[in-house]
Amino acid sequence: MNYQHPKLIEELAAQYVLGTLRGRARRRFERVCAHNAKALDAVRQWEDRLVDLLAGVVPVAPSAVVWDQIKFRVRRDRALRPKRVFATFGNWRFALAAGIAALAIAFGLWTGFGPTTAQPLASFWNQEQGQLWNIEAPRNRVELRIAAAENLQLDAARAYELWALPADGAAPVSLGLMPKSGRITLELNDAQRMALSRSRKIAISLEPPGGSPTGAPTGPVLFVTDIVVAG
Amino acid sequence: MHVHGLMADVHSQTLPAHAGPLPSQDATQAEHLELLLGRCAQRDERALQELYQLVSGQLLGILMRILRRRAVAEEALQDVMVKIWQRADQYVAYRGRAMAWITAIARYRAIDLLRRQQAASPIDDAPAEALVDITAADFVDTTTSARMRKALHDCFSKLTAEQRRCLELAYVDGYSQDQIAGEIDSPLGTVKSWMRRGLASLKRCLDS
Repeated sequence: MNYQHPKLIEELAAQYVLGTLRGRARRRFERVCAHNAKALDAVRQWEDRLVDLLAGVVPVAPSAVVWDQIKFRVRRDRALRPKRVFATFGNWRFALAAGIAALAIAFGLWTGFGPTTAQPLASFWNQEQGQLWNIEAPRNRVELRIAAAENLQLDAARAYELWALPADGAAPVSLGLMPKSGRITLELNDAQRMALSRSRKIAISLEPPGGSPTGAPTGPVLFVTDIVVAG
Repeated sequence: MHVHGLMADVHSQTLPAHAGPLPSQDATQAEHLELLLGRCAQRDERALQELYQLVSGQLLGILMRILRRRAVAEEALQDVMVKIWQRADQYVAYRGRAMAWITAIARYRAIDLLRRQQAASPIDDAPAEALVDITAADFVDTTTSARMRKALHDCFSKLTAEQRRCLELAYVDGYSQDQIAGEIDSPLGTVKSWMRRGLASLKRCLDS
């Protein structure tokens, strides 16, 4: 396919934004956008053209727990990542001069180029309830996909926090809060990925709402399980 | 507008007061979103909270239209807000409206999740909470330009009914072309043709 052809780029960009470009074709076009400024700009223009079609979608109030989870993930991220420096808002805004090259980079980063194939990472079980949680992760372990078993009997007033236990005896590193129902995806930062790569086991501790206030487990460790070794 | 059935695991809720519209005019409000993104880029957690209060209701509505299930949509909303937080500095390189950037992140996340979800189970009807209601556009009133909204409305109304329906099902509901063909009981080739022509007409009209 000739991705230099303007008409083709335009059609693919429209379908990409519309959501009808799917599967491998979608991934392929994302890769094109990463180095083709015209394709990326066509996507941006379609995003801008169509966004107002969503004007009539009725807002739905999220459950309170959603913000709690976001806050938890952001604080963990903030504690473990180096601070980015922007002197003033004005500087930030006028950094628009970054231009097309930055756009291409940004596109790759903001889309993440789609999910990678998840593999089993670990499962937590107990005798009373059988399987409690199942955890999968892509090979590069940029995220953990955690599914809670149905009808879990858990303490509604406490949080269940997941920890990597480095094999070298270093302090446990929090990986996030376990879902009490349904599925969540926990994105891991570099420090968390590194801790996970140095661990053969992970654990869950019982913590106050929102997770451990200290960065270390403060409640009882409820479960410890082995990490599946990648094949 | 199209009508969908109710969904079992979705419960009606009233938006909290803080999720209501901002006062003042479009330009100011769009700038406010940009300002919040700028503060997020500076790692100002209060800015993220304010942004969340402003956009979370609308984003969850959009996510539920595509993903159908509240639990999955709320998980996606978490991912989207964390992504916005992590990548707010990249908005500087985006030469479009802040809400278009934010919405794109949400929709692309939903489309990725939808593929996994559809592999596991069939689609339910869209949640009643997130049905299109053009009179309920209070949030978007606060974040996009009235002029652009009117332009889209005018151009969209010039499309054929079939073209409008196809584009809405794809963009708002996350339908694939196959699903659209099934929904409106038309051949896939015809649907593709309607969509291609509809998009081309829309572009010509909006760019003119």
